[in-house]
Amino acid sequence: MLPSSFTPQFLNQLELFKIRARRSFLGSRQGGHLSPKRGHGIEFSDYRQYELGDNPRHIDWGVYGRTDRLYVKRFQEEQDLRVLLVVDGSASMGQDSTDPKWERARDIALALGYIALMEQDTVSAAILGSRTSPVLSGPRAVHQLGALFDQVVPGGEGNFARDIQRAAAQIKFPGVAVVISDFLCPFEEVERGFNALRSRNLDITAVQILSDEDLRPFERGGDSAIAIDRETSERVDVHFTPELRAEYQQILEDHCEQLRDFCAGARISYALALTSESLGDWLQNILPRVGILR
Amino acid sequence: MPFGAVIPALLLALPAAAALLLYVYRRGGSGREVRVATVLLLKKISRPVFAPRKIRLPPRFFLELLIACLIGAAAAGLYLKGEGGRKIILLDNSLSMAAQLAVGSQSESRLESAKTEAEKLLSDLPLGAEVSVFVTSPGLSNASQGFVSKEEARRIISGTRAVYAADNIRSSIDRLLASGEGVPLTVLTDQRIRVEAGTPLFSAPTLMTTPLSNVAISSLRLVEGSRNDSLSVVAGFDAYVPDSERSSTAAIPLTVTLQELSFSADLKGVPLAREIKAKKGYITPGETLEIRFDEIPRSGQAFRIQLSLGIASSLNTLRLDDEVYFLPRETKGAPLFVSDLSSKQLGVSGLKGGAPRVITPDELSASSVNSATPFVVLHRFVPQKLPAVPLLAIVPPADSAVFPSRSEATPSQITRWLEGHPINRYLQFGALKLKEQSVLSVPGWAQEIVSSTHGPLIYAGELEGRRVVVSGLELLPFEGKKSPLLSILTLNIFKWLSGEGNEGVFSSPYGRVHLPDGTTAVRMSSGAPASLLAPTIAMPEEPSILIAEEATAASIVDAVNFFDPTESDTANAPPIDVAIAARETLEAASRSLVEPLAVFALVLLLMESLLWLFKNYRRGVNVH
Repeated sequence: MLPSSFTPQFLNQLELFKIRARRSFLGSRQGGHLSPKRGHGIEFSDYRQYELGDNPRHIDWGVYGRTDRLYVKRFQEEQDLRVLLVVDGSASMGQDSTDPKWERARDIALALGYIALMEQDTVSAAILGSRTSPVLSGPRAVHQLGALFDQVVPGGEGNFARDIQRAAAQIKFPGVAVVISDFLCPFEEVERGFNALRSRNLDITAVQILSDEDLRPFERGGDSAIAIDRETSERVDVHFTPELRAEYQQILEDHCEQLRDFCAGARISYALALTSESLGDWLQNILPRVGILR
Repeated sequence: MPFGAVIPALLLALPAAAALLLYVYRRGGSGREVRVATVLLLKKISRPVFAPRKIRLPPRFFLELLIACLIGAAAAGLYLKGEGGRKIILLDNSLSMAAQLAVGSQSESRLESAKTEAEKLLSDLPLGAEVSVFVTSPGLSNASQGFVSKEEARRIISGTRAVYAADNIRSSIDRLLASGEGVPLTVLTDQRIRVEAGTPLFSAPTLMTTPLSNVAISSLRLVEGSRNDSLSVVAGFDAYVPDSERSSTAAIPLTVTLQELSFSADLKGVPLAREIKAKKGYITPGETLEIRFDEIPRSGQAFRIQLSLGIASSLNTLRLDDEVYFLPRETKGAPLFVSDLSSKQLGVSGLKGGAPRVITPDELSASSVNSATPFVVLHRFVPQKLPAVPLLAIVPPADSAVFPSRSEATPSQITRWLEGHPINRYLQFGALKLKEQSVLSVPGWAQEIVSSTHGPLIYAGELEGRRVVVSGLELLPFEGKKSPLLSILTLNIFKWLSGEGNEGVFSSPYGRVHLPDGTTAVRMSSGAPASLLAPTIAMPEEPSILIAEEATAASIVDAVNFFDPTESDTANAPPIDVAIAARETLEAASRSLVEPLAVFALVLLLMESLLWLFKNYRRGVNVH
């Protein structure tokens, strides 16, 4: 089941998009993306000499007239794109929060999945720390995707690197990978996780989701509290003064900047999604700019 | 406080444990809790921050606090005191406590040292403690009249003075231990106390037990002078030196001064003292030195002998036994027999020392007896007013209210006699058979000396300051060798009445003094009033001449002196063994609460564990 926010109007908007890969990947069947495979297609690629058995229709007679040699045209095949959606399902995604990042992550994953499936691409989803979907294709498979997310309750102490490595191990064909998480974990784990995906020759996009709670903690209810980590249950006393709040903001900014710098260096696209923003606007404005949608 | 602790310092852990528990509960659960995605970034904040806590104390906190308190109290060895923070102080204020003890570069009396020890003791007692102060002399008495506050006890102790009396320390300790009901007792005395085993119920500081040297006037007797108008006096002196110093102490030089005291016409004020003679001598420790003064005029009103050691004064730590008083009266009078029988019939004319005076009961009057009369024998007669001198009543009439008795005509045999009493010296009564006797009713002031199958036959004691013997046996006529048993008994009684070692007219300051009728006031020779009670007063607390003032005429009453070698001997007092069964008295004094506290704590701990397990079981939590 798709969330209630996936209205017919929203879906119509999504159908206008297409998943874009920065490079071409071999597909398993005909699709809408240029693949490195040469064969039949629309997009002219190059010539080769005629060989016995080639379709005479593909002989370029203009070249023959000029060269007295038979050449056939080669076209770039359009094949489907493998889209892997990796969604952080750990407790930090805040299922029990008033502003759950999990919902946003799910919506982004479903939106991208819908876009891909409508374009005859194949989609698989891996929810870190939870389950992995089979390879899905066809527009109707979006409901299976929705059902997968419905069954998942984020929780547990996630290990980003380990979970990503597990998901990466199941990839058989390279394609596009979209990793959706808050990335609020030790940077070494993020690095190891992404490196595992990079080793699979994937076109990776990182979507970082942050909520108001992450940006401005304890704004509601006072500056003092005992912060309890959702994943580890570790307790930290917090009493924010204006100076300490500014310091926290700087720490968060530094963490995100470190992520962005890594992504830039690793040729990973990066997008920031705030739960306070409209999903439709974000999809329309941010993702195309990042380059994953067109 | 009714509680005490073996290790009181551990009780300080209780508030620490409570504070820790409070901190843990504050730290562990209260305060606004907010679940966040991660504390990773919050931990990077440079300065530690602590959210203020609101205290939320569940019932479990109080249960755990109770358990912590129980364990702490058990570890500290809490016990219930027997008498709830009470203390008894027995202060020895006998004569020997006036001896001067060297403390540092100064000297103070043993009593002052005892007061200092008492002050330390009172300071160490907890707030609200109650103290009962007893003094030993003259006679054990409760100076505080029960338990009083520390401040009141302090005041009583500081006002206590050494008196001319023995300490009776052993009997005092026995009586207090027997009646103390487990109240801790501290004895402040110069006697060395030995306790079988250490116990918190008994303590005896030893500061005052240092042996000290002393030279004292140990005896005084008047002797007939060479002329009728004079007399001689012989004073005995004893030097007491610690055994450890005896061999190194040479003969001690001393000076003895004889003074005549002259009173004013109205006998008021301090008498004038005129030195008559002074003699020097040397006294060796352990030996008695006698110094004799002759040709003392009988015309003198009163006399005083004083001892001084001059340059050897450091060996004389007790000065209160360095003077004696005497009056120039007849040295030794004859006993007086009051009987219907004659001297010959009484068989006493041949007694050593000369024939006694014999008068009939009708002839007896106040003037018949004076202080020179050594004793009076009342033969089958008891006057309404007893003479104020030692007396022997032989077979008192059955209707006598003073010496109740009943006649027994049936034969009896003596069954019991008090061995060791001077009256029974050299006697074995087993063979004596009696035909008739008067069975006596022994009063509280007397001891039963001889008893028969019918009951007490002879008792003796001290009544109103003088020795009294009552015999239900007919001792007269004195038959000498014919009846050796009764004769020896009679002579023993006479000797005892005369005062063994207490010859002459010199009194010891025990008991009371009988004064002539009409006496309204009594003073001592120093001018200080002794008492205003009439007709008898208590003995004064220092040697002196006791002067009675009658309504019509004044009369000098008596010389009061003090001779007690056990008090004057400040050097070698034997230790006193006090037996206290430490275990029994400790149990009586306090009850350990360690076991019940520990058991209770364990039970509560077990209950809490079971409750916690049950609670988690219901939640379905795996407790492994």
